[in-house]
Amino acid sequence: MSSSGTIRTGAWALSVGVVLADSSIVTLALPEVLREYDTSVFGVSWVLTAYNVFLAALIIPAAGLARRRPERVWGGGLLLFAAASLACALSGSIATLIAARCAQAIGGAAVLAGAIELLARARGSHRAAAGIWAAAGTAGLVLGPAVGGVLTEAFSWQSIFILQVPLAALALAARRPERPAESGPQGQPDRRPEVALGLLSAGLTAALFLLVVLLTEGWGLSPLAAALVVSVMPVAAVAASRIPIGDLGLGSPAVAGAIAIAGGLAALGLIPGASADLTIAPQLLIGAGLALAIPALTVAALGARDPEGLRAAETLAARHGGIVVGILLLTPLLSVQISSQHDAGRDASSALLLDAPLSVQTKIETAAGVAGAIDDADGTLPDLRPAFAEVGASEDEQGALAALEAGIDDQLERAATHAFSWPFLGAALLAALALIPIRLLREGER
Amino acid sequence: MNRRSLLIYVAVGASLGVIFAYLLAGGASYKPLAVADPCEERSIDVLAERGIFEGIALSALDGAACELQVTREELIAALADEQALAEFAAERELDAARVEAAIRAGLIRAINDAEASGLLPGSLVTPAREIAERLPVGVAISLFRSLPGDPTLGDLITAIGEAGLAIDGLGQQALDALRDLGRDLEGLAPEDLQGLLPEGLDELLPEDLRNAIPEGLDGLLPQE
Repeated sequence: MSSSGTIRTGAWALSVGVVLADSSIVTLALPEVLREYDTSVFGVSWVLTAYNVFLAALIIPAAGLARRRPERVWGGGLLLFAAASLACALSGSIATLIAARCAQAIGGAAVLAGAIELLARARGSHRAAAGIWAAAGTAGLVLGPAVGGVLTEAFSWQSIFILQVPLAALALAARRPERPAESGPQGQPDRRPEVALGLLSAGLTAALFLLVVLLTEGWGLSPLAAALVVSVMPVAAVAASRIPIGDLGLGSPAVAGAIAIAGGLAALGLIPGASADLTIAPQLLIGAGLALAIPALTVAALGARDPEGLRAAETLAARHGGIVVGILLLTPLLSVQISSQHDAGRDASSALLLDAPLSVQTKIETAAGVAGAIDDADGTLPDLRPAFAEVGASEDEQGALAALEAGIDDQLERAATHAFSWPFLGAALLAALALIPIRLLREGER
Repeated sequence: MNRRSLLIYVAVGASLGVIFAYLLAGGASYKPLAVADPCEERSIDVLAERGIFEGIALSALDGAACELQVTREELIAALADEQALAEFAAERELDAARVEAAIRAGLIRAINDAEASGLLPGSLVTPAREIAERLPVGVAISLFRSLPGDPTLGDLITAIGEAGLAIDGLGQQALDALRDLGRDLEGLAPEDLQGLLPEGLDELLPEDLRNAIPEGLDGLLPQE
C-alpha cells in the first residue's frame, strides 16, 4: 500500500475509533456533568444512552447512503460530528447537551458507515476491512474512559468535546474511490453472532460505566486516578490480541472471551474490599476476553460475503444496541442499590456510634459532624476526617474516637462497594448469556 | 487436549480462580454491618457500663423500634428532626397513636432494663414508670432531643420534671419547681435536699410521685 493509502486508511480507522470512543469517553466526566447541571444519575446516563440509541438506529440507513457516495457521507459526517462536539462543549443545560449528543451520533453514524465502505473498497472486501475497523472501534471503546478521565482532570469535561472538533480536518483525507469493494449476492445473514455481540457489549458497557462510577463516586478517586486504573483493561486487550489464535476458528476464541468477560464482571461483583488494586485481576480478564471475543464475533457476523456493507452496519448496530440495553437495564438497578446501601451504610454507622464507648456529649458532636459530612458529600463517599477533627473529645476518648472513625469509614466504603455488586453480577449474567448464541454458532461451525 | 479446548479451559480456570480468590477473601460478605434486632435483649452488662442517660436512651430506642418493627438506627435517624419524623411516619403509614404507643413501649423497656442493670434505683422506678405510662408523645420526643451531653443527677431530675409537666393535672408551677430542684441539686449533700423542695410542691404532685421523689433522691445520691 502507498504512503498516501496508509494515511487514508489511518484516517478512516482513527475516525471509527473516535466515534466509537464517544460511546464511553464521557463516562468519567459524568459525575462533573451531574454536579454542574444538578441532575440525577438516571438523567445524566442519557448523555451516554442518547448517543448510542441514535448511533444504533442510524448506522444501517447511513450504510445505504455510504454505498453510493462513501467519501461524501464520511466527510459530511465528520463535519457534523465536529460541529455537534462543539455544541456539546458549549451546551448550557443537560437538555442541550443530550440534544447535541444526538446530533453527534447522527454525524457519527455517517462517519462509521462511510469509513467502513471506504476501508472495504481499499481492502477489496468488507470482510478484509473488518479487522481494521473492529480493532479501531474496540480500542476507542476501551480507551475512551481513560482519555476522558485525563482530560476532565487536566482541563474540564468540555475539553473532551473540544478535542474532537479538529477531527473535521480528517475529511481532507477523503477521495473518490474508483470501484465498489465487491459485487454479487449478499451472503446468508446469521443473527447469532450479532446477538452475542449485543450481549457482550451490554456487559462491557457495564464494566466501563460501573467501574468508573465506583472508582470516582464510590471510592472517591480523582478522574485522573480512575483513568489510570481503568487503563488496565485496554492494556490487557492489546496484550491478549497478540495471542496467536488465527488457526482456532471463531467459536473457541468467542467462547473463551465471553467466559473471561463474564468471569471478570462476576469478580467485580464479589470484590472483597474498597481498593483499586482489587479491580486489576477482573480487568485483566475482561480486557483479554474483549480481545478474544469481539473480533471473532465481528468476523462471524459479517459472514463470507457482505457486498453491500449491510452486515458490517448491522454488526455495529447490534453492538450499540447492546450498549443501550446494558445502560437501560443496569442504571436503574444501580440507582436502587445506591439508595438502599446509602441507608444500610448510615444504619451501620449509627450502630457503631450508638455502641461506641464514648460520652453522650462526644457522640452527639460526632453524629452531627458525620451527618453534615454525609450531606455535603451529596451521595458520594464522605470525607469524615474534618468532622472527627472538630470533635472535642477528652484524651481518654481519643482512642475510641479514632476506632469509631475507622469503623464508620469502613462501613461507608462497604456500602458504596456493595451498591455495585448486583449491577456487576447483572452485567456478568448478560455476558454469560452470550454463550448461548455462541454455542449455537460453534455447532454450525462443526 | 487440542488448542481450541485449551483456550476455553484457560479462560474458565482464570475466571474461577479470581472469583474463588475473592470469595475466600470475603467478597460475598463485604457489605455493611447488619444492625441488631431491637426486639432481642441486649446484654445487661453492656447497659450497666453506660451512663444513666445513655443506658435509658438506648433501651428506649430498642423498645420503640421493636414496637414499630424497625431498627433502632432507622428510628434514631427519624428522630433527628420534625421533617425526618414526618417522612418516617408517612413511609410506614404510622398514625400518631402508633408512634405514641411505640415511644411509650420504649420508655417502659428503658425502665425495665435500667432497673435490671442497676442504673435506676428501685425507689425511682415507680415514678419513672408513672411518667412513662402517662407521658404525651410530644414531650417524650423533646426529652430525647434535650438529652444533655454530660448528664448528671441534676439533669435527670430536671428531665423528670419536664416530663412531669406533661402529665395531666400538673402545671407550669410544678415544672419550674422541679427544674429549679434539678439545677440546684448539683453538689449538695442529701440532708440539704429536703429543704430545697419548693413550697406547694406537695399539693401539685400525685401522691405516689410525691412520696417517691425524696426516696429516690436518697437512693441516687452518693452516700457518705
